[in-house]
Amino acid sequence: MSTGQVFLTLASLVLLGYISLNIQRMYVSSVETTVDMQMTNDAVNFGRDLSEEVQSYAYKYGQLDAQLGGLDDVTNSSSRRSDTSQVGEVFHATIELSSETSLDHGQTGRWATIKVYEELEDSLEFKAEFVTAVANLN
Amino acid sequence: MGVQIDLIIPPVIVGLLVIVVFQLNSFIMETSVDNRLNNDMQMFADLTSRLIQEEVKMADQIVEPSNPAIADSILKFVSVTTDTITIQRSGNNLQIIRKSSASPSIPDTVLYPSSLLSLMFDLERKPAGEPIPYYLNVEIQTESDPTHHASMRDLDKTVRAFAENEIYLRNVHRNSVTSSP
Repeated sequence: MSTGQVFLTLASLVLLGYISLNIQRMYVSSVETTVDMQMTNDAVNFGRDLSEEVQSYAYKYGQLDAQLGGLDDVTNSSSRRSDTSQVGEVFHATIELSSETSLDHGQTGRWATIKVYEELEDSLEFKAEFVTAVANLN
Repeated sequence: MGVQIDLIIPPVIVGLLVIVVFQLNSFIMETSVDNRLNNDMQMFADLTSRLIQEEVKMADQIVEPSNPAIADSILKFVSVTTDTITIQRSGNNLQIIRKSSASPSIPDTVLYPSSLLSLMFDLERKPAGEPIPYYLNVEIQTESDPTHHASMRDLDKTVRAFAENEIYLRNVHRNSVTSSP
């Protein structure tokens, strides 16, 4: 083969390698997106669970601060709620309670802001936020 | 016998390229179908959880699981309208059977195609000392049908998704509050 042909062959091999590398990258990216979607769904479900729990304090309003107060530091294990999903991913959440206020329908109650984080290897990633209200129905 | 390398190599390269192009097309088709099925399974798991949550909003008294310490695959409750509602998995579908107290022999059964693999219900006392459990844990797993995948190599390939929810049973809680001395 002439020198030109050798160069052309080498160039085609490099191009082929580049294309197959990009295809692999695309595949890994799609798998990552799928896994991330499952994690987001799990985080949203955990937030919904906590939202339901906050609403249950309508009938035990006096215990709200004692049970859910102080859950405001996601980095402190005693100041957060944690949950492990079915696939073993760990989530942490904080619940910030507002002071007593007038809610949308003229009832008096408190707003709760729930923030959910996913535990990564050496950091926390914010995943979801919920705002719900609890009124005193005792 | 003289070998004409210059004549042999170009058709070989073209042949290899054609094979690579076909493989790439097949690979892209398989992964796009897998992605779609993954998304579908996650959506089915989430939708099943929402459906159950909407149904149990009307729950007034839980009949099954009868023992809060043991998870059950069947949820049976009496609604505020005195209907008896049973939620369970039937094959891959979510089955909701509604029996009216006026005509219990003619149940209204609805099947939701949900690709369910497992469905478990577990009542929970929270805090632990509560006399009546008024939280319902629902665990859902969905799995795709192997025949829906585009792969020609791995014929048993499936994808799975999960959803887990803790549902507050407001009426059950209210009943326990109003009935306690």
